[in-house]
Amino acid sequence: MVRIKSPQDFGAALVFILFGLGGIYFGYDLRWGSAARMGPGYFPLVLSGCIIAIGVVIGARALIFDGPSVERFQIRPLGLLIIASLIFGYLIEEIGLAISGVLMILVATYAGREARLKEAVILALALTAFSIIVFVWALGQSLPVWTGR
Amino acid sequence: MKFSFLKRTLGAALLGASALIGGQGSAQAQAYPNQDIRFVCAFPPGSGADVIVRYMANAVQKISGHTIVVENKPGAAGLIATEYVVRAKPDGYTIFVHAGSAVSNIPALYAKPPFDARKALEVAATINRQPFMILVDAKSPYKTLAELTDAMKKKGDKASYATAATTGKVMGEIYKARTGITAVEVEYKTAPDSINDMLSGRLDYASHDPVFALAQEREGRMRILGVSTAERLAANPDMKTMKEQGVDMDLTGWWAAMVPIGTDKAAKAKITEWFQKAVAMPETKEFLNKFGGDQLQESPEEADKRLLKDIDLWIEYAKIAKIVPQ
Amino acid sequence: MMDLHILDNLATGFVAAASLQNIGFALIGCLLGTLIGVLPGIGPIPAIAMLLPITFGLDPLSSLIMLAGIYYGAAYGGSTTSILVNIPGEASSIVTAIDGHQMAKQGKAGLALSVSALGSFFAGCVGTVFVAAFGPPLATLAQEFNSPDYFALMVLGLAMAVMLAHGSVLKAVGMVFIGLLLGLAGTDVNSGTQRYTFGITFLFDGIDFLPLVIGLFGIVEIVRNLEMKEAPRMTVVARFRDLWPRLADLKDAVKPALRGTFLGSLLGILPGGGAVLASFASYTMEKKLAKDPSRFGKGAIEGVAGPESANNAAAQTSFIPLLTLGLPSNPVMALMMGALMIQGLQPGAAIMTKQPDLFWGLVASMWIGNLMLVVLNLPLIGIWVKLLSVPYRLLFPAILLFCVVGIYATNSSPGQIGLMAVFSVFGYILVKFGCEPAPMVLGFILGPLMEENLRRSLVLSRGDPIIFLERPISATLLVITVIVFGLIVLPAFRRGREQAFQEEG
Repeated sequence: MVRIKSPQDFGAALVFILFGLGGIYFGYDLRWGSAARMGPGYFPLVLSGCIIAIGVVIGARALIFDGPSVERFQIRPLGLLIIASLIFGYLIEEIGLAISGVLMILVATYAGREARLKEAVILALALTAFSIIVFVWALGQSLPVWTGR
Repeated sequence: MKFSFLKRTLGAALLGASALIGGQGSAQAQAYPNQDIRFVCAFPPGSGADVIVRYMANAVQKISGHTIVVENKPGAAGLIATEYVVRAKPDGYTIFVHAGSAVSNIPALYAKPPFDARKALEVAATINRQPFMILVDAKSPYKTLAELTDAMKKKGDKASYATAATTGKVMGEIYKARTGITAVEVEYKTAPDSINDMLSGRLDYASHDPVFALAQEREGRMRILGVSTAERLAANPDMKTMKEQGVDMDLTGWWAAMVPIGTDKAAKAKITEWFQKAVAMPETKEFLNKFGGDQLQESPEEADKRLLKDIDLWIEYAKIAKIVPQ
Repeated sequence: MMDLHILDNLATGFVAAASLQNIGFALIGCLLGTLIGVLPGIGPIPAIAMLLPITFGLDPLSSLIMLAGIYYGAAYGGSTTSILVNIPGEASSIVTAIDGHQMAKQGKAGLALSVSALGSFFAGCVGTVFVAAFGPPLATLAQEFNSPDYFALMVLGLAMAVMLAHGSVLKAVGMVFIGLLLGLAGTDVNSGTQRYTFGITFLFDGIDFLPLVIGLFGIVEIVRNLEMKEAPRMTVVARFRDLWPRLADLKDAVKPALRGTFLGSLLGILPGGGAVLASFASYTMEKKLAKDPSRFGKGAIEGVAGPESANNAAAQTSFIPLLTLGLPSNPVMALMMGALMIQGLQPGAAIMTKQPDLFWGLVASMWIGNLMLVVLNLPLIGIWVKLLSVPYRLLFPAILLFCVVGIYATNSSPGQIGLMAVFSVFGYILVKFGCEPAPMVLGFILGPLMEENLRRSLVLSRGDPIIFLERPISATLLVITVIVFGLIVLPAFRRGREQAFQEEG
């Protein structure tokens, strides 16, 4: 029975191997070419191969040598931050910076442990106003403020 | 006023205020133009293309008396900006100041373009036309195109040449096809990237844009042997065309002010008028000549025909240059 | 009398540049550059692009002076965000972030910022003299670099990128490779083929730098802080004198700054990756020279002083190819070239001969810009450090907002924010598995240049790899690469064997 002695390294090995396999899978229909005139697929496939090889070596070592364990993955902070950014990204062209900015900050504050609603509302309004003043008014960037595009 | 951003800010604030007072509906009723006009540039601020767009913005602002804002939408060799303009409201407030030839090569370069270039834009006014150029190192012995061609025939596939843009690729391939030389193409991301390899003698010649080529000739580093337009241009009347030196080709890059198809007729007529006035100015001639091009004054109808004709031409060129649509 | 000429010329330049009005423009440029550059999510290049139009209405010299101010301000603002909140805005500040942010976490943010400002100023002064004295001959040297030489330079750069990690060498090498592969996404220069773009238009030009680094560094940093049991508090030093380096700190910083300045001045003249390489070449050098390399990555002052000096010296000398040959060596220089052209000037050797006051005025303005930077920023450091005392629950939503607005304002594409989200997940996974992202980002930047020059060299030689050994420049660089890589791998290998013996014993 093989025991994983270094979970952290083993995880890294999996990431490398998956990434390399992805590189091959999605780059596989690219032309390979020859050394004299490398096609667009030559370099990506060689790189993907190297990444897999490195992953395999790291993985093998993780079975032999002891190493650190993996810290627990916490879904909430990362998840909420991403949801907040995506809300912003997909609403700004629909309803403008003002409202999507406020919504984003309201969601984002709950990624932390000590969110307070009243404070979050004030923060959201203040920061959004600030970014409108800086980007749209002072710098003349063409961002939709009140309406979409 | 030195701080244009301040002016723009104030202008925007006033406009905002007037829009609030007047309500949303009245904006449509007033005569065009009643708000800032946007010139879309497909390259980043400070690029060669941006310089042309900003020059035109300045000129049109003076003629029309309206605020023109230049908006840069760089990316994907102009495709992102083109798509942006195609999707814009056809109200005359979004004007694409860009190479018409770059719009017409979209069907030749992309297998699944995000829009149909034949039915996406109409030309309000043309701005200039410019050639691509064949260059050699100033230290090289080739003084004419014929000398270069002879030498390249002898060198066979040991000869190499540089390209950096689609038009340059096409020019290089037509030159090879017409003369039977078999030089190997070496692609660069930008024309300046090729200078070092060129000056060290690794490359025999290059096919580049006029802005780069003229700057190199001015600095005494390279020599221009032929230009890709069928006729000589007023900008550089001494430069021989490829055609008159026995290599038949007519590759013309041209710039235009384009608007989304179906743009309001009255608005488009105004835009045409402004641009025609701006292009006719002597300063504009001088400015455009510096970039190796001539003013191009065609009616919008002629220009639309040019755009459609170019689309077919480019599909043919792409075949000659063995470019596979992606 | 070469030297006297330089003095004469510089005097001409200062007479032209140092009017009260121009110094005012330099100061305003610096201030605006710093204020915009310090917003997380806005790297120096977008900051300069946003501020560029302000200068169009000025006369040529004033416009250049203000632009120089904006440039230095934006670059310094970028270093400030990497030190304070671990969001590098450009490639070279990734190196600053490694130890600079650790210093900030230990309550030494003020020290990191002031060392960075002083190092930059020193390097800026030397760099300016460099430009004035050796501009033209150095430009000729840069012209000797052919495609094979660039390839060799990139290989050397990647070997050094491994040094940026303080953990496992093997993982760092793997991360460099992942970065290389990510860098290839986009339209292939040689064939026009799209690689790894999945038909998404905004990927046609490749993955954008800002969403990548903001995801990998900025968002992951926020998440790591939020994961801690208690709200993270930066130890904030209240006393003003603690913002300044002590004599002992200065002693630690002087030599790295000198070496960094030297490396930066040389590498800065190379087009392409030169200026980027400068900051991490300096980091590699300091880590190798240090008595205790294990301090690096944990807040070593040398890891800030060296790279920041190198970075700023390179920023000066990267003007050389632009001013003497009319060739922009990096995106910032391309912006500068555009600004010159909008003023109706054609950059190139002609500027120096035909408009000497403008040329020398610009050189003088570099020094003025650097001076303004120090004058302006040393007092501002106190304010930046105070920002860290804002409770984190209020600070992080602000950082997030500036990041997404910055990304959106830079290219108006909501998809880029999605890309940022993807890289924040990827970066989070990497951190959990003990992989450091800095080497990956350098691979990402150098990858396209490396592939392009490799393929081009082999086309030029018709497939014969001997081309890399034939040319003295590339051969030398490759030999150095082997040495550097040996220096990195041998100690790691030895450690690995010791570990192996311990296992068995």
